[in-house]
Amino acid sequence: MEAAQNRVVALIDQMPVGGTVAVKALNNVTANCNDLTITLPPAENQTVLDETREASKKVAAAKFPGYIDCVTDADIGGTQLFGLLAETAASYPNAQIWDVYSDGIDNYNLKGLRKGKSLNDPNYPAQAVANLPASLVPRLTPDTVITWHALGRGTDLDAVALAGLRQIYTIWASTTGAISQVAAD
Amino acid sequence: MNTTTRTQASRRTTAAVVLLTVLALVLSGCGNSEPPADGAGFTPPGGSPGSPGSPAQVAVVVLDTSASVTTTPT
Repeated sequence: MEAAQNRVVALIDQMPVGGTVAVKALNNVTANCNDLTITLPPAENQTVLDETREASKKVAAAKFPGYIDCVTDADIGGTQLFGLLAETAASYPNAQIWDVYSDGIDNYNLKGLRKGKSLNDPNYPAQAVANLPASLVPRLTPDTVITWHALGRGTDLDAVALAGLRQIYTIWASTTGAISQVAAD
Repeated sequence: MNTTTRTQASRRTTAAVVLLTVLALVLSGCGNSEPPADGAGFTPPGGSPGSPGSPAQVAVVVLDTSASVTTTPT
């Protein structure tokens, strides 16, 4: 989570006036966790703008752990990552920068993914995405860039299965019309 | 230093330069189709504020907080 928090601060550091940086985490319907959002309003001069930006970075860093605690308390014991991604698209339809942090493998939407057996089938990633409900593969705003972080890092998948897992997410992104990249971190 | 020694030293130097060049290219991401990304920036690729393509205004960080449940069957 530290990497994600650092990324949030880095985004705030570079966001333009009028911009928004939001954090959206896995959520249960019983949870009541407001997304963490930071905006940068216009300022009367550069000094004020710089001060506002620095203050926003501190606010985000301070609120981040509490937000994570909130959503984690409502953890449903498995990943509904595609549902979360679809919710994100609905909540932030103009977002063109996506950073997705997920290092697990369990997924409610992809039964059989666990243990990595399916991931050794080269045809599986495309089939898996094709079988997702249309509501879980929304069309994203043009020029959206999705960066996947830590994919599969919390699993014991072998190299072939890990490549299959990554392929699922890159195919999903491609289907939404987004540009997809896997982070080096 | 005789001719043979100089030639060997020259070859070693050349090899070292080639190795460093290749290393620099790899580190800079050249020849790698997958960007060495930490994440996209607000400014369009290759551009700066005012260049073609307006900068992004909204960024989202999406977290799968149940990543630790890899041992929990779903």
